[in-house]
Amino acid sequence: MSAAGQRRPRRDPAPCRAAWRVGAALLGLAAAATSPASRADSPNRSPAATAIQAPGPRYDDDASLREHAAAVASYDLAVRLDPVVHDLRGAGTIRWTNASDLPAGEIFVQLYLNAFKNDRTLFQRSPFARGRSGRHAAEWGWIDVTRLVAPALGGADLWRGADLHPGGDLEDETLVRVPLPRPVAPGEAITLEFEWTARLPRVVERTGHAGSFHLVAQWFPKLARREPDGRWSGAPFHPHAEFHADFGDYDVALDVPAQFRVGATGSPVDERVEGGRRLARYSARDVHDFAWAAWDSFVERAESIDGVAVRVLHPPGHHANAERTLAALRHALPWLSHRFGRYPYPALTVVHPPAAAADAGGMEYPTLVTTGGPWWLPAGARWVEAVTVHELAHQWFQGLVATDERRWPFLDEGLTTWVEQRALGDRFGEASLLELGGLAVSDTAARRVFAIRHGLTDPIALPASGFVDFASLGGLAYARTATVLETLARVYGERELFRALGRYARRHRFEHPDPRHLVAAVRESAGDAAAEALEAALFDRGWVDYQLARLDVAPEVAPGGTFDGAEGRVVRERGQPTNRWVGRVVVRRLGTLRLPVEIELRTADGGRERRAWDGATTSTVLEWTGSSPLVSAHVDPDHRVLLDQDLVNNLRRAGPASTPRVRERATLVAALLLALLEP
Amino acid sequence: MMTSLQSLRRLAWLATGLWSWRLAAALIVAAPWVDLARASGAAAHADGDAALFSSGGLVLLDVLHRAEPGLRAAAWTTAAAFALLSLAGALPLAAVLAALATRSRRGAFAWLAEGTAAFPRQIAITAGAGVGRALLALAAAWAAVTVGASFATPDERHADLGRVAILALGFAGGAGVGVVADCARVVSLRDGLGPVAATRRSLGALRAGAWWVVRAWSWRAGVTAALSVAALVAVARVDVSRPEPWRPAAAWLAGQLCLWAIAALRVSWFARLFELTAPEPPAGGSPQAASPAADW
Repeated sequence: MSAAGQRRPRRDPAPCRAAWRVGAALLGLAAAATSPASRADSPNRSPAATAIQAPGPRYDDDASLREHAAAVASYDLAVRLDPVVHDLRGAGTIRWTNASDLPAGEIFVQLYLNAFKNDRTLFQRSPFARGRSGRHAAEWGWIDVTRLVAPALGGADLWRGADLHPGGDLEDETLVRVPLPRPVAPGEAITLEFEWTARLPRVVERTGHAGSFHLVAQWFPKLARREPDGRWSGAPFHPHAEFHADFGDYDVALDVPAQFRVGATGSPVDERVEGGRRLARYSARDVHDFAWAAWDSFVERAESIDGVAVRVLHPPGHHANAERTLAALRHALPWLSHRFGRYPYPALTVVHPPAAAADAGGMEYPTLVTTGGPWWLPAGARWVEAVTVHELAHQWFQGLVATDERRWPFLDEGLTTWVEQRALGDRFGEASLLELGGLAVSDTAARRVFAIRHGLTDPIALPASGFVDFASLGGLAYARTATVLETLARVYGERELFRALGRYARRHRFEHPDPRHLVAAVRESAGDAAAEALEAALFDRGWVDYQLARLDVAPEVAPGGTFDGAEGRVVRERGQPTNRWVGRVVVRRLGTLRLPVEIELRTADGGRERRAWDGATTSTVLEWTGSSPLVSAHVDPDHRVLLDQDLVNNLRRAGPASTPRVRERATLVAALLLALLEP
Repeated sequence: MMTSLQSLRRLAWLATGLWSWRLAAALIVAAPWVDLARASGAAAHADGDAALFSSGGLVLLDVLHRAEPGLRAAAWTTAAAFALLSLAGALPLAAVLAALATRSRRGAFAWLAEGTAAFPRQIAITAGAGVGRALLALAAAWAAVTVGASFATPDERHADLGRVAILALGFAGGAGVGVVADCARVVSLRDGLGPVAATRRSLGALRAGAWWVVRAWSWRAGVTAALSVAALVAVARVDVSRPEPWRPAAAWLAGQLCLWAIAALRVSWFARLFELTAPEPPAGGSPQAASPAADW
């Protein structure tokens, strides 16, 4: 353990921080208590004070990168798609190793498609919590396991003894507990043989069909992950939640109609047409999930980017979007590999769903991502680029650094959002979200609005089920995390933050880290102050609002009165002007985050002066004297502290506010409308 | 009789009058947004409201987010002001028509008085045209949704382009209603007819000289559209996020020049309509022969 990586004792332990950490844990407990599988999925817990070793400088480049993951759960699957009724019929084996420190007397199996089985499932039952798309399943989907056998454990059908409702929720069947005839010892591997049938719903929550288009995700019986302490991290499928699983190797044989084109996780091993069916086999190593898409109208565009075989599967008429997708990948793939460790897979598939299946867009699976956007999208609207880069960034943050998306959604979505902002910013500058008619809007600025809107509601570090709705999760886990990271980069150094995330991503490749590992990496590279700000922002609802409270300006006058000096007593008249000016600026800091800022003072003769303030106290007073009067003061003029709740109260000027530009623009638009719509 | 130069000068003055009205109305319509910007505090920056236009939109989005409750009120105020001023716009337009109807130099007040007298008939024509356009817009929207949904092809362009074609037809219909209404305005003011009779007569005149009317309207409509785009492009090219005061002034000037030109086109359109809807064809048999050089 390096000294730099050791967690130092807090110099100023804030009681409210501890209280909030407890609060966050309690919220997690409450959320888990409502979960039918609380037995399998322990609540969100504070990272507490366990010392975590920082990654160290050896992870500044790829020399120490792990080549492969430990294959804990590997799948051989064969599945046949009926595109008319949207049924799947499959069989396969799982080679599972008990990688925990304790014997396993049971296994937990996730049956995600049962989330859409009826209106009473955990996913469907609330009329208000409706997942990421905001929609319930319009058509039912389900999955039935028809056989589960472990030959090494006696060969009996284990599914007969399965508990379909291990958490006591009799209406949800998305997590199933299967008792084993005998415990599987730590390090012991077993093979499970199984068969299943499933029906895909109409596209909902990034899986399902729309006409003959099929995005087949979360489609097979999948083992929950067993943590090193013997705890199963599986959970019923909550509307806000995503996934968590062990790494392994996948070998999947797909059987679809011959006219269908297929894209899937991994690389194609074999593909042939027999009896009117297309038989395609895909192989993927070191992944923790497998998804595929099939459609008879896919158009394919392929290219090698940074040594990776990239396929873009898109609807007819989306050629421009395919080119935009590839252009985004040409920039982002090497950009991400350079900063967070090389992309380790030989292939990447991007699926652009048709408009009828738009809800299938914007999702990440290992080596397969879905993007989206209409065919007519103007070039200045970076929707395709933003979604593509975001989902690609997930290949690192969640794909390779496989954090638990249910327990810590900010760890993948927040980091990914920040990386997306940075990658797009490097390519498009300040117009990284929109460039239209002279208006340039950055992804960072847009996300900041959501971050501020939700900043004072809940902590960021909640489990997915702990957020009151998906808007709150989006505002906090996505936008606010990204805004926190951007603030740290601007305040404590961009290079330092990239180094921290680079080390974190390389060190924990093919692992399942938690927030402690992220904080340790930030502490190591960006310092204690940055790490403490990060912790406060993540766990304690840390916030800040700098205010320029007062700006006073007056002519300087010579002091009057009776003065005794070397030349004897001198009496000076009061109020004699000196032809100089004095000023006083009062700056306040509200909130719990203490971040250093600069204050810019401007004078009537065009002079500018910057003063630094460490923000350690709740206010500061700046005294000023000069030959020209102060005309304005601005806290944080470079907008380093993006977390600042209100940017506009950072300003003050002597004299009236002026709005010539707004008047000019608003008048022009109004006059044009009046002219064009005139009677 | 007025010479061509006098006609041009009068047209320029009338265009200036119409532009002035529009500018005044635009200032009223825009006022809630200017107030909102001023109240937001963003204009307290040393560079005034330049920060609202800075690249990246950080301050702009912050202000919009913070002003969210006020946005709705500003939008409603603007919409109400826009509707009222659009209707009130019939009065200066009537004055312009009165000026065009008489070849003598009677002065702005006399034209305004004539316009005021004609205002009830003019506003009735405006209202009728508004209803017609609204019905057309509704029909086009309904058809676009219904017909668009019936395209069963994986190529989304077919359905979307079908919708666009339907909306374009609706737009063309709306433009046609506007042309008829303009003719009716001219006929009503010149002949003192009510809205129905004026519309009937203008339809007859349009039937007789449809080609000339379409030609006269279409090039002006094209130039007006181009000028509108040019105005937006021109102001967008002036980087008002910089602090120099000449920048907003330059942007204002560029935009208003385009708006003045649009007003001039509108006035010239009405001048042309007076000729095209003249009750008795001039010698030569066609409006074109009567005034071949007048279509400016």
